[in-house]
Amino acid sequence: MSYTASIAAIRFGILSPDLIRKMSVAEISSPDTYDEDGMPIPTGVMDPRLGTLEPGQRCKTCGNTYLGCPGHFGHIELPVPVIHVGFAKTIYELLKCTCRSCGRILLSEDQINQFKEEIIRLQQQGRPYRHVFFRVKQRAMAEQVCPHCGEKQHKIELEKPVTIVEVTDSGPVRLHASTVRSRLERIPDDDLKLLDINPETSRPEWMVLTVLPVPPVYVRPSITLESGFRSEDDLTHKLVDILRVAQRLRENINAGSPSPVIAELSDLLQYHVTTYINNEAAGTSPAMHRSGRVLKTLAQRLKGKEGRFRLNLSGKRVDFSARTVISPDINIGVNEVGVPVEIAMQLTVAEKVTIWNVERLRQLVRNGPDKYPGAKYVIRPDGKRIRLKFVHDLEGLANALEPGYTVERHLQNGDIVLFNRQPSLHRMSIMAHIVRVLPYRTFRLNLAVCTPYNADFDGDEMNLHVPQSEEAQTEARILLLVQNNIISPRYGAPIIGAIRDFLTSMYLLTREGTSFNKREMAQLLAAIKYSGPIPEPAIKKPEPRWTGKQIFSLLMPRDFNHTFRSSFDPNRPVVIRNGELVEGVIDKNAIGIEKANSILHRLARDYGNEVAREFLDKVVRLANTYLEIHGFTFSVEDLTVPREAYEEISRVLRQTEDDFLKLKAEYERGKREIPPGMTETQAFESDVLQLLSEARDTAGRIVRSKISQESSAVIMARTGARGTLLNIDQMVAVVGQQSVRRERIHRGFNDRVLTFFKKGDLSPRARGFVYNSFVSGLDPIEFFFHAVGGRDGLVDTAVRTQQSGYMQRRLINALESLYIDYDGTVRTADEKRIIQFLYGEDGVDPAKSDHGIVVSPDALINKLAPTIRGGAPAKEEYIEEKVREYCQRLPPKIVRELAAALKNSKATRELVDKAFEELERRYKESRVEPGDAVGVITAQSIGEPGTQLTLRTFHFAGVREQSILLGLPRLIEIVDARRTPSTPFMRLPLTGEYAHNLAKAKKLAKQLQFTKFGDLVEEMSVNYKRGTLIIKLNREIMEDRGITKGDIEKALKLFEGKVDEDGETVTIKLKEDMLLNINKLKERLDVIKVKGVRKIKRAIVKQEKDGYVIETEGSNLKEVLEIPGIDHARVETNDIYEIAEVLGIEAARNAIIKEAKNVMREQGLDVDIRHLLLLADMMTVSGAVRQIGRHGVVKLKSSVLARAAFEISVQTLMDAAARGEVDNLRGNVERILIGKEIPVGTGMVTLLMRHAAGQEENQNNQQ
Amino acid sequence: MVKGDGKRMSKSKRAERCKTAKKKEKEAAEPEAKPFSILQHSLVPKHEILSEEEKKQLLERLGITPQQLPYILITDPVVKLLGAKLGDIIKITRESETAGEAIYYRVVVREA
Repeated sequence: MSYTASIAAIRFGILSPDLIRKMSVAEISSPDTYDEDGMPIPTGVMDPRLGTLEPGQRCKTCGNTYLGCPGHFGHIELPVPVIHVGFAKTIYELLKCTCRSCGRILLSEDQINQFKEEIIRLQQQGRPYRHVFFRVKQRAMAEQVCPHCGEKQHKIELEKPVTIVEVTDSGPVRLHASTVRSRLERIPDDDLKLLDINPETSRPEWMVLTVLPVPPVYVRPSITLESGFRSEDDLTHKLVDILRVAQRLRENINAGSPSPVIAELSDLLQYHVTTYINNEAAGTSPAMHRSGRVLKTLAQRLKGKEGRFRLNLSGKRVDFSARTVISPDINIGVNEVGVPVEIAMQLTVAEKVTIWNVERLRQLVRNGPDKYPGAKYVIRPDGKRIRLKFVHDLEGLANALEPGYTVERHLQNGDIVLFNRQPSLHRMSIMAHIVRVLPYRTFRLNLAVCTPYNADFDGDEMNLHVPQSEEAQTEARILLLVQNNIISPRYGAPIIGAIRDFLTSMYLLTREGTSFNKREMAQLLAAIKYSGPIPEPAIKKPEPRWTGKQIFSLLMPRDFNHTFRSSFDPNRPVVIRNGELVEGVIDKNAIGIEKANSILHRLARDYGNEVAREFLDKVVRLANTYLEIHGFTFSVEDLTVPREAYEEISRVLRQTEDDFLKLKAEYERGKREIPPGMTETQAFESDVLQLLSEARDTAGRIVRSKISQESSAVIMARTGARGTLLNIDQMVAVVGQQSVRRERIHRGFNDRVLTFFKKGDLSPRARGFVYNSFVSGLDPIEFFFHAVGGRDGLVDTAVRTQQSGYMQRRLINALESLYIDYDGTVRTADEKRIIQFLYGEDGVDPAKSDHGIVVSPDALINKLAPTIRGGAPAKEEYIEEKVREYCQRLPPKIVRELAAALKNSKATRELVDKAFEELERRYKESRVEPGDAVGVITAQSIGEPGTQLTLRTFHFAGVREQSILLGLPRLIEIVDARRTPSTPFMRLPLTGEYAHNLAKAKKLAKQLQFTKFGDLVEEMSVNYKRGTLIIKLNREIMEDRGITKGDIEKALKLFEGKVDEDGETVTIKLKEDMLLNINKLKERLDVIKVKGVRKIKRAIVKQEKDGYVIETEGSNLKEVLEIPGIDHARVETNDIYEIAEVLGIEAARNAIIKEAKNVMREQGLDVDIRHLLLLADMMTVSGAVRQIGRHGVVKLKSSVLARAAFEISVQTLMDAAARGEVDNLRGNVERILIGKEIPVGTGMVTLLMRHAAGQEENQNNQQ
Repeated sequence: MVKGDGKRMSKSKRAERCKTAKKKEKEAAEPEAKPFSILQHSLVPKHEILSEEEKKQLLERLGITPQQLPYILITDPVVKLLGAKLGDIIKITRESETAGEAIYYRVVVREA
């Protein structure tokens, strides 16, 4: 009988000295490790009782060999107490909160009772109570005299790392560890509970060590070098150090040495114990190896990416996996993977013997491990494993097989495996494929799945895993198979689809004029394995010919109807009627990726994933076969335009040269108006950049109008196969400006980039404009500039991947535990806290939507209308009644949209009924399923496109006076919940006359702009004779900002400043104390507010369709809301904290969504709004805006292990120990750490049973 | 110090308070933005205090304790305007891009 136990929970606490001695098998006292024979010395750190590392030996304690012995702890008796570094801060706080003489908490009995009651009450009501402890501590620390014994308290200080100093009246006194310990001993259990310490698990005196546990040797194995020398583990070294000092200290104490000697040795012991625990503690110099290498001690073993948590517990190494280079294969399906025979013979699947498969398995066993297809192991019914490699009589074993046996056979065609490419940024980075065992040594995959894996074939490697259990295989087949991942949950459109040449080919096939004779037709039909009747040829004379459209039509279901627009010619519709391509061409918008409402998308949604997969498989094969017939090539010829075009381009460039000189002259003569907030150079550079980009655009337009539409480049660009029209411009017309950090290249030599130029040459050529096209070829200088620009791009990508990678990790950690519960709410897996009451507010899974939309009402009506006989339109009231009825069950938006569409189309009663029924059916189909790990999906959907976000992009608001940070840095800023955005910005719509009167609006803007007195000062001087301060003001600025004499006098009221008649000079009579401290006065004057709203640096009026709007640099919501003339309800700011403070948490949530959406939109990234909603709701569940990271959302997790596994592992564990926290191991992270299934998805299903014995325990778990 | 939080007000009294809170909101909204109330701001959705009865029903429907609800701080400007107190549940009617309208609940707490 075997018992399986499982970990129910983990309680953290501090080991008491008694417990340490109790669990110890040996007292360690000798600093030596081994004797001359290499045998471990008893009572040494390698004492054989702690376990043994040698293969032949048996453990002195348990008698097992090193394989079976779990290891045993020893202990070291410390001669003097030593403070545990990890608890130094806790000890310090405890000492400050308790009486130095009686040990009671520094609160009166009344206060104690009040706090206790509050905590108990909050706990009973199930409300948060943690914050009370904080107030208790604050209150207690403030107390000067003990309310219990009347003792006066002294100030206590902590000198890092572990020294505690008491500042008595006679000066600072260092508290010895033993004194600290005795004080801690005096604190009663009841008082500790108020200080957030659980006395049952963690008495505070245990934080001062008197006994040190010695970990078993398995924790710190010694390794034998090739030279035969033994090399000890860092921990062993440290333990030896500790023992050495301990021994010396004990000798000195026994000999009665003078106290300074003992003190010094105590300090040394303290140092060694400190570094043994944490070698990176603040205030200590790290202990080093003889070679100068810093030792890796206990804390370092847990911490960081290479620490125990992240390296060994959160991620584990697995069996049944393979990795090799990938290569493409058009002949295998999208859901297949080609596995090399060599790998198939290494990986195995366990198959149970049944009467139905026994013969087949016997044959496999007969083949043995070295002949494919064979088997590697046989497991007998008694559990014994037989390795076939060592079996001589395979035939006999094969014949012995009968139900009850299990055969671990080679991987075969049709097996299911998981396929993965790192970095695994989203769900589609791991998908299930069906095995196809193939010759050669690479994994083969269909090109349509390159996109989700982000794979290419320049040497990429991929991993393969074989699910072993039947449950795992079934899950993989139902949930993870490629076809079930065609639609991306990030944006609700296909992420798997035809790419590159397939798109070109399908365009060529389906465009007007493509036709085939019977032989070609047969070839193409064979490619798609078509077995139905051959359609009527479209052309009958002189010989029967079929069009490409006809062939393509054979791929679609017969009842398929769809209309959409192609990428090639967006002005003309593509029409599919009854599965027949009637009009238009097939390209990226029909079968490609990232395009909603394509043929592929519709097939997957309306006909199921299986149909879509089959369609895609055939498209790929058809496209490939057609391209074999037709051929497709790309050469310089495709990039030539008529001679006139080149002449026109050079004319444009010459014109640009002239324009540049004109522009330069204008600037030199100061004739150009410089926008506010820009220097002259900036304005000039920005103008030049604009001029040059216009030049390239004009040149590009010429190319686009003159280039042959039959050019391969154009076909590829327009079908979406590869390249853009801009790429063609650069190849044919002009490459254009090269830039570094979005500026013209200007670094290099003094005032010039290269020595070929004159100093100060600002001409396009000298600053990196490439006049040549890629076809005409770059000259050496241009080549240099191009390389510089290219390098900038590479650097940018490298920086970006790092930043977005970390953002992704934080997002995952913050949202990892969110799942859909059975009632449709989004909850956390551990505490079952509600994050959303209905996922995405409508409960719809983006992957089951059309680009976020459940149903298009018009499409729905169009589909139903033909099935219904005509009649009188339904009354509006009838529809309204239906709306009321359905709003109870469905999201109001779709119901109302349908109602509006029905009214519009004058639908009959019957149609109305049917439409609403269909709507409900579709809605129910689109709902998220309980168990879905929506948090992870959200994190991936926001994190994965992070790498595509640009770094350092600014969006120029209005007429480029203001720049607003966008792209990745802004997204990070949002999820970081930074206090202030790096480019604070406000948008203030105006009301009433302000909105339509420019003068008034401008005046208001001037009123807003913050001006401090210092901004106006031109010169300051002191007249010592008269004792006055004379300040000369800058008239220009004053006029510009509309500051009057009155404003200044008002601002300087306190100083009684007098302003001259001309309003330019201010005189302040100085008092004597002011005279002595004139600089301080100047500082005070400098920051005086003269006019405007604090923090608003600049305000600009902009015209918009419904009146004038003021845009400001800097944000101050609170004050702006009090200024008349502004439409307060529509005031916008990008400072989320400010919104939370002024408008509340709900407004802040809306602001987070708005800002994140804005970043995504600006960058052209497609992320479903539901993901942003979930992110914002998670960031605001606690009532305040929380960061996605260690100080915010992750800190709120109840599980100790989950927090420790993310960041700041050690401190988290220490705090948990002091509090005696219990980890119930309910969240995903914890479950992974202990190696159990996670409670989301298919792991959510549990057995629910009422049982008397279980009742009580259940109740305890609920707490 | 938190006081009186434990003692429950009579039902009628609380219902009245809910009403006055709503009234407050209305009053603030009606006169021509004078003074401007943050409740009118486009980012601020409608907040209401749930009655004792509704509160019970909600918690029962979801099978949770108030601690498991999203929080809203007692210091939140909207909570202050509504005059909600600790332990109250605020019903928030959000404008939703996906559903048209969405209901959210938050329990008033002192600190997160």
